[in-house]
Amino acid sequence: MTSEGMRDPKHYQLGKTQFDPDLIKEVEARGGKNAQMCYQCGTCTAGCPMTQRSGLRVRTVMRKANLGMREVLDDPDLWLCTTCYTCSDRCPRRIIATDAIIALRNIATQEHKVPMSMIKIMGSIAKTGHGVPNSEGNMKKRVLLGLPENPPTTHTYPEYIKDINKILEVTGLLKIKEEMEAESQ
Amino acid sequence: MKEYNFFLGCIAPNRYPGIEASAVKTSRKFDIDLQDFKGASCCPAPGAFGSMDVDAWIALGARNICLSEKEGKDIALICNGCYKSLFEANHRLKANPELKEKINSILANIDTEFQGSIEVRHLIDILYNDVGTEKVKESVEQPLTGLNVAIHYGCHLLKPKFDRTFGSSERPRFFDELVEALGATSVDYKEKMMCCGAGGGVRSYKVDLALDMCNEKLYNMVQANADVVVNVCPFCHLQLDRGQVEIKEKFGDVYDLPVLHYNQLLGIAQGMNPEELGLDAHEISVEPLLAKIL
Repeated sequence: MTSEGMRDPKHYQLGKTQFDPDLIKEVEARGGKNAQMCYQCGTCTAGCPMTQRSGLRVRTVMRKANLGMREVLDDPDLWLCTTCYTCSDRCPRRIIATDAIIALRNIATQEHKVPMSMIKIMGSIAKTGHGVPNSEGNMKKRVLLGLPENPPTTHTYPEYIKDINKILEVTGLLKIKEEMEAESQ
Repeated sequence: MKEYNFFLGCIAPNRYPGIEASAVKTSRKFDIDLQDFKGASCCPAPGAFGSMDVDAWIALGARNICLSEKEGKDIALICNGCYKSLFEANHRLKANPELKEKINSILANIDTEFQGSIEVRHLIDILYNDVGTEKVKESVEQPLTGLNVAIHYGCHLLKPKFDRTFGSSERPRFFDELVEALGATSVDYKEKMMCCGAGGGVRSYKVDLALDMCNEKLYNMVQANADVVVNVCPFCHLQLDRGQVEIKEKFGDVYDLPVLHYNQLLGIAQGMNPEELGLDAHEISVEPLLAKIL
């Protein structure tokens, strides 16, 4: 342990790796209930359909989160979970590992480490109310089915979109979106 | 006539309107009126949006719920992603006073308050638990005898099971029973409960990996001699249907396996014509399937 790491009793360091004991508390507070109960049996990784085709290892994510290794927030594989919840339904400790991963993603978002593909979906919702908005080709399909060109959603009633933007504003997401868009240019 | 506010979400109205139209038409046969839900938005997408901020995801879902609360109508929906967003937001806010206070403090900015006065139901839940398989069977005019159906439940309908009402997420039966009520056969296939690969924002983040998962599912379905894959989620539907075009381009694997939402299969069985169910708008032709049963 370096002398630098010793100075802050809440923040330990081994080699280049930092250990932050508050990380797991934050994960639990953000919805990853009982994440500290993980005993590393590996049932999550064994049943994960993404494990065999990528670097995502749920057990490793859980271990790093419990050890307070904030580097897990920089791992691009953190965003490969399809949130199928197979690991969560099978966990013998009744930890909802998927929600722990989502909590880690929420923390990563606060640090501007969210993929731009997610920010784009937010942009679409902010603009139209829909993550996947209508298209001209689709409007024709709708009319052929006897449906109106646009559904009776925010597409027909855009006056509701301002409420959506207000929620994005007060939760701080709109600011993150704007800052990340500026950073990426 | 039981009335619901029909929550459409995004993919059904904006990519596969046949799913929207078939839900409305088939439900009328059971005295269920799926009505226009004015001002609803994206649920919002649980994988992409929940991953950015769970509180904002719940607050935006609650905005949709509160619109329906004002009209005093329960919500019915036809998408597992929308189900995750709205069912969980409704359930969590009803069960957790602290969370309700926190979300209501966000909603106060748009002069809205979550009350907890309505239910959020997936149409498949309404069909199975309220209508029942017997009545579904009685509505059939064109039995789907000899049709091999690979059922895809979709993850967020059933999981996490502690936050759902359907019981087993490993070996559920209710969807199979609803398909069998139409005269079709539900075929068992390897890794039947596996994810389609699209969720969690993965389809927009790393489409090759999302499709690789879908490829495995499609292969397993075809190995079991499936004539069609039937789902209850427009996002899984898009991944399984348009995904086959992308899988062919990227990996060279060809399945030509038709994909239907349950409401479209129900519509065929109730004697509706393929055009009014929007089947001609699918990427993968449903002609082989229609030739087999009509």
